[in-house]
Amino acid sequence: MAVTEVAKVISNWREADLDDQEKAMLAFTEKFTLTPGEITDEDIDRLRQAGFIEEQILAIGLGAGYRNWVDRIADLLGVEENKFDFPEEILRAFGVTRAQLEKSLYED
Amino acid sequence: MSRLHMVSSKRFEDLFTAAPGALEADTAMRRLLVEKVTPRLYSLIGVVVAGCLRCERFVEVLRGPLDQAFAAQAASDWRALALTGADKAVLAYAEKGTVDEASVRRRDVDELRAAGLSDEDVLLIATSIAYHNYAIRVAVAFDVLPS
Repeated sequence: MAVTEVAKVISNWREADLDDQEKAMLAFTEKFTLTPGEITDEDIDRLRQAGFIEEQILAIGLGAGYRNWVDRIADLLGVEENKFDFPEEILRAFGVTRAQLEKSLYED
Repeated sequence: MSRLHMVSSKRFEDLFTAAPGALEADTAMRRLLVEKVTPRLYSLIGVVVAGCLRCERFVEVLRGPLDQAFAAQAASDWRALALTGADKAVLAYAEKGTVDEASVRRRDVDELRAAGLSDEDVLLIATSIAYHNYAIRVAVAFDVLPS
């Protein structure tokens, strides 16, 4: 995926050039992250209707869970993964410069 | 039965049947955290995270050695409990780390240090908060009970 497309997915995945199956996966992932207590049988059925088999649905859930774990540790401890490796397009999408990135999250 | 056709129980561990190695890694992480953070504090963080995520139905299985009424209160409003300064600092960190994790700053960690916690304590507590955020989300998504 091109970095410009990655930036679009990060900032607004609904407007990104994704197929229906990918959008179904991201809708589930968003709900899983923001309002997990509201997930119902219908949310899992939507993944099945999008063509995912049971093992893939499990992998989506575990993958989203893993990101919620690792990214949260980074936020809680003020560290970043590969913080200087973001392509310029990503930085522009978020309106930050590489120099700004070189400061710790805690230097606010 | 879980929401996945391939998992016919409500056991969190059974989710890992299709992910070789994942069960061992998950069990080892959980055991380490319980041992290092203490069962009481690990459970207290878990019920507060469950409350923040509107998953109060998991409080009973997450409460560990905590009294039932105490755990229920911790999930609904932990500030109403009589807690030590260190417990309050940890739960404030757990709450912020669950509902608004991107806003955590150095001063939040400084409050833990001011309450007497070491950097190793902070690392283990942060990992416990993150683990509960992972496990509770996976459990509620697939309708199984967290370990």
